[in-house]
Amino acid sequence: MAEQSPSLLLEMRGIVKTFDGTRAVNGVDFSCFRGEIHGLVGENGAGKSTLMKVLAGIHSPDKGKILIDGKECRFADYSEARKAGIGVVYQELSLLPELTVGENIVLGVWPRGSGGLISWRKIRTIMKTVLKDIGVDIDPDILVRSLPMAVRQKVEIGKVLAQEPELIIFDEPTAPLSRDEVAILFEILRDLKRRGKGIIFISHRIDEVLLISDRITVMKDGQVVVTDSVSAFNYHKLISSMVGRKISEIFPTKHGTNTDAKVLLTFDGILRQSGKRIAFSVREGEVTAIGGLQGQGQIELLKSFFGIEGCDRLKLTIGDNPVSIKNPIQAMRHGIAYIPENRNEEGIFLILSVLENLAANTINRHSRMGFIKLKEESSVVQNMIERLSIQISSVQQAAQSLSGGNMQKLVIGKWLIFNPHVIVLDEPTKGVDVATKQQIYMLIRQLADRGVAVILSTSDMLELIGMCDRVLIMNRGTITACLEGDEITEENIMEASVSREDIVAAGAVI
Amino acid sequence: MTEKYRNLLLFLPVYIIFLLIYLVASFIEPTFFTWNNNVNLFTRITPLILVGIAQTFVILTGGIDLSIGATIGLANVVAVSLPFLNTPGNIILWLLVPTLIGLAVGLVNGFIITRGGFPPLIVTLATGVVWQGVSLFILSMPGGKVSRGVALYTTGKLFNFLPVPLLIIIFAIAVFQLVLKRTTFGRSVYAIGGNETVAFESGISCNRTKIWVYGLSGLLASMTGLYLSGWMNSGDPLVGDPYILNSIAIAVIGGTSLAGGTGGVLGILGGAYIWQMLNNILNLMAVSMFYQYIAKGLILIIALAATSSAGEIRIGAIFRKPGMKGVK
Repeated sequence: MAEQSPSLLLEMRGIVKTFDGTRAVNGVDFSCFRGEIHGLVGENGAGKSTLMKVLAGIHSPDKGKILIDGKECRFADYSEARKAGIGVVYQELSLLPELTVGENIVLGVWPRGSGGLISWRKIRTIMKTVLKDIGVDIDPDILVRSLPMAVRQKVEIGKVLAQEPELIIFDEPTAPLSRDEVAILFEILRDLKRRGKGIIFISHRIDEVLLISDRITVMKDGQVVVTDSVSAFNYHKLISSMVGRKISEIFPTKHGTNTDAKVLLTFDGILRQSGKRIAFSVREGEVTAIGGLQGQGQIELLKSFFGIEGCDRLKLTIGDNPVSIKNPIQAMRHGIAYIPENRNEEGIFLILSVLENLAANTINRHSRMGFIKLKEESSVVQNMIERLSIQISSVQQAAQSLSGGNMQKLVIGKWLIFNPHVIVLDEPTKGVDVATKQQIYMLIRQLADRGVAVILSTSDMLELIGMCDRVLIMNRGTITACLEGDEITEENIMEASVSREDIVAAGAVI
Repeated sequence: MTEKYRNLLLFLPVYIIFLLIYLVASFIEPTFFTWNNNVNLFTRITPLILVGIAQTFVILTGGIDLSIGATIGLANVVAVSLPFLNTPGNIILWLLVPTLIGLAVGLVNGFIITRGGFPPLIVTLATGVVWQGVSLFILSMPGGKVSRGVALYTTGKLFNFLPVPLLIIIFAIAVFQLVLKRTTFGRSVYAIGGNETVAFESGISCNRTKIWVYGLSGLLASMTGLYLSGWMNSGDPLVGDPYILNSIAIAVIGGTSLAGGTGGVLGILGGAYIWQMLNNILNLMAVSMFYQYIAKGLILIIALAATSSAGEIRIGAIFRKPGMKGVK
């Protein structure tokens, strides 16, 4: 691609980074040339983020070297990495919504004028050049809060470019964008490339990585599987090197849809956030998925099963009985289990023990007159630890000392002990290792087979395609598509996720 | 191994410090290690233990109770001001009326905190001022008297040799250790302090548990007030004041983290002893009152640093394998 002979901008050699005894990054070599877009792919937990955090100075490597323009560098923190010319555009936008565009872009840099005061004149000059670079015309005094997602992201990119980095890491920049917006982003990337910057592009969307990258590195379990030029890959080859096996080997066999199957649950309510009606049903033996981009009302929909925020005028039936739910205790009385996405904040007691975590929602069941029957409780907990093969040294161990996969098993195990009729799972495989993922998929399938109504919300494309019998796509606070059987393809899911019109007329029951 | 006994290891530092101070004091002052002096110590630490347990329960849920002092004062003045209660024949009523008042005071705290969703710090500060006013209304100056027969139930000796305070100490710690570890109530207390959102989404009745925790705190505070009236043989509406700081200090020195969810009542005995012996030593050394305040404040800050999450890692590291704890 490059006209002159390409010069090596970044070289990482033998990087090792260990957390809690597990090697998140294990002996990785990685490089990036000037004027190159280097795609970095891998499943959640493959080590991409850790590797990039090592590069950005957020983690210091246990072993290995980082060379920029051939010179060895050590970064104590992000600001040192920034000075060395490294910029990161984060997946979860790092803008402060209550500050203006201008304030955000110069955050932490603060150009000074006379007397050491912040010079707003200088800021305006920087703003103008930066915003021209990324091709947007925004008033620097507008609050970030009032901007739509796609524009916010441009501001985020602008913020990074304002520091004139040589190497820019894009960590899943396309996740919140529609197809047109992705095209605009790619123009910005190509322009940066022409100007000789090095770009590392991380994404879960396989086709985008194939489209924009010059070279691709695939990571798995903390190691590099392969690094090669883009012409050496195609869609299927890339996926199978990411997961180390074919899709059909990861997921349990799907049952497909059976329209005659018994309806276990119907949901009909108005999502408070959007004011739109949502209605759907869950059939026996099916894994019903909620898909779509992040923040389209999935969390609110799922939480309404537990009577938290969510839906107005909710009519919920379980079996054939209408039920009314105001809080988690009532929901649990009807046999509903809810596994939230934010494990550390909502799913698990980090400072409490394994036993206290696994027994938390069944203490009343295993007690008499307020006294816990310790033997009974302990044997139930022990059984679950063995069933899920949770790796612990003692049931008294603090949950925070476990790995992500084992923590997730605690959350799932707690609800399996509860023995629900309805299970609502929000991103149950986020931040867990591949083996645990496979185990979780098997468990979900088993629950569906045993007649439990399963609702699975996930943003993982492979999961939607490989695991689910029916996929409901949420978009701007309502369901815009219901895909079944062969309709569940990456293209259809994307189409419905970014569509600006309600494909299904509001109020239709799915 | 160390993970298995994590809960007991939490209380190890406080008892090591306790033993050190106790041994040094016995060595320097031979009369320290006599039965009489120890009985004297039991008498002095009993109120500390009771308020320490009260505050520990509240802190375990992630809250704080600043009305403890005023509740002690209220129970104290009620116990000396109602003459019909104050006879040996009415001992049951004498015990019951102030404690029920204390329980009610605590339940009101819990109710306001949970229904209003207000911070416990402000709510208990405010109700404390209210009850302080009520106490001053009942008894505006220290005074009153407790009948001799009644006072025996607090600081006397059972069968002429077993000091009642020692029985109170053993009984209180045993009962509340049982409550914390063996009951659904105790489990809920830890769960709420561990993470209230998770507790709520696990079907734990957070509000009900918290109301009873504040009720328990009021109950124990009023028992402390009763005990003080028997021991001092008089009433004083301001007698509870120092116990606000004392209760927090003892809970924290006893290994309970102010963030909630970690700790328990097993460290209370050591915590109360350390706090009381420090007082004694400072008095014996004739340290002026000003410096005593400064010294106590500094000791509390050190204890806080040791039980905060960062401190826990540092102290815990002595017992733990390297690399067990990391931030991902």
